[in-house]
Amino acid sequence: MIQLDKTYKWFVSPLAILLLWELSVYFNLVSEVFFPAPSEVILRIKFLITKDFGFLLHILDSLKRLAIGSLLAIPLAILLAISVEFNRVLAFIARPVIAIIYPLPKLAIFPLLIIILGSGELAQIGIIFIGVFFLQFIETNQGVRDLIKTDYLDVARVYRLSFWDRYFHVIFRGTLNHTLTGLKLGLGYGLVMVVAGEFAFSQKGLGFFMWNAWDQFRVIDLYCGLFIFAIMGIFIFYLVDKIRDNLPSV
Amino acid sequence: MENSILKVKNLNLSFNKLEVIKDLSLDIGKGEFVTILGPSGVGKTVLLKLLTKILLPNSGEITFTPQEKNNLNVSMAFQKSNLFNWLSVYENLKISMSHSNMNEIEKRKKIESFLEFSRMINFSNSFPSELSGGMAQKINLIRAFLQESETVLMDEPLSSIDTIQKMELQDFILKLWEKQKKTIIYVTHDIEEAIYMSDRILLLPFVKQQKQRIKEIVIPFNRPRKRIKMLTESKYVESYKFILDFLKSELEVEFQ
Repeated sequence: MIQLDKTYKWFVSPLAILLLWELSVYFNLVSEVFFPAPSEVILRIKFLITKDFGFLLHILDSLKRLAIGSLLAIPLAILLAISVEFNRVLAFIARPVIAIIYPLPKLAIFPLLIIILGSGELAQIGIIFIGVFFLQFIETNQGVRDLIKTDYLDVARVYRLSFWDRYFHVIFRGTLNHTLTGLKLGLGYGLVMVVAGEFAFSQKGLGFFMWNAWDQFRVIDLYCGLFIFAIMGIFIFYLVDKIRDNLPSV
Repeated sequence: MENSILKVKNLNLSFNKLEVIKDLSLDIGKGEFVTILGPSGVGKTVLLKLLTKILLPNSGEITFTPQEKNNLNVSMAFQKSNLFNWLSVYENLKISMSHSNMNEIEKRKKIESFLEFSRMINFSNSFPSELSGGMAQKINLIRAFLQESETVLMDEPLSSIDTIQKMELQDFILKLWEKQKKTIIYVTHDIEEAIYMSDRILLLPFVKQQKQRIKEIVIPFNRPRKRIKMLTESKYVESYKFILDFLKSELEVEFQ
């Protein structure tokens, strides 16, 4: 059996799908109008990036929003997910609020956010924040709950670990597996929120670029946007799994 | 008791009206190796958790002499090794000394001397998942002995180890005990292990109507003990029978 390097394994099935797609177009099995050949899409992306800096700026704008929203949401979610398990007052306040807000469709909150925060950057970052925060919170919190069921905290108590050692080296590091899963889910959902925000109220970003392409029936440009989001998605999963692979088993 | 290091007086603990420890008193001398033995569910682990203050009693007194601040009187080797899987062996030992006043160099020296003594120095950078069950348990024991506390509690640390490794680790515990001159309170189900290791065995009964009155047996063997020779002596058989009769009466079953 062929042994592939772990990195290559990430690209085998997507490349196979692209190849199948390419052949389907080549043999006229699907309409090229609705399913332009992947090679055409890649050439178009190359063109857009090298000839039209606007596209690159759209990508950077989307990435910037994702980064700001996530960087605000992730540390706060992790901190809160740990704290609610050890602070009764915080748990009393935070748990019901989170339980009420989490099931609400996040896109349904968006109009309200726009009314409160205005139709600018703040609302768009706000919706990314909400999208990322809950998934990160829930997954990390589950990790902390699982850790509490073990004897690790008794060990920490018996050996009188310092505050830092207890919260960082035992609780945070002990829940890192869940936290990384939360990161994967949160950032993935963050991308959905990026598009949603940019579809509706933005003049910049990949979501706006795709909305514009749809409006002008530039189907190939819709695929360009999708390809870039797909690359971002696979990069997030690859990066998180790479981090996980390099950690000692948790 | 003269030279007492731990006195437990009229200790009581209930969980939702279920009495787990009832009016329990005991006295442990400095440097003793005392084993607590009793049927499952009798409260042995709970008693250790009370001594470490993981659990707090409803009433009663636990007095260590001298009384150290911040519960520095005891350390504990758990039933499962409970090493932090995401830390190396060295880091596991170092983090357990988090409260110590030693500087980094002193901590490193102390840890390395223990690892040398136990012939585990080559595994200093290994992670717990890379160790066998016996090796992980050895690190668990080292972690307990590494502390400045005078008393080490051990909650069936060898219960899931195979016979040969178990014997090796029993001798390892005895060596550490003799070297460190600490007091050990050891919990086990294993009668043979209890007789081989202990100075004294405290037989803990179930909570009944009256107070939980501990029976005591002083082990009539000098140290160092020779395992095989000890097994063939009549004093051993008498001690074994005494413990077995106690367990029989507690469980109300007949042993063949």
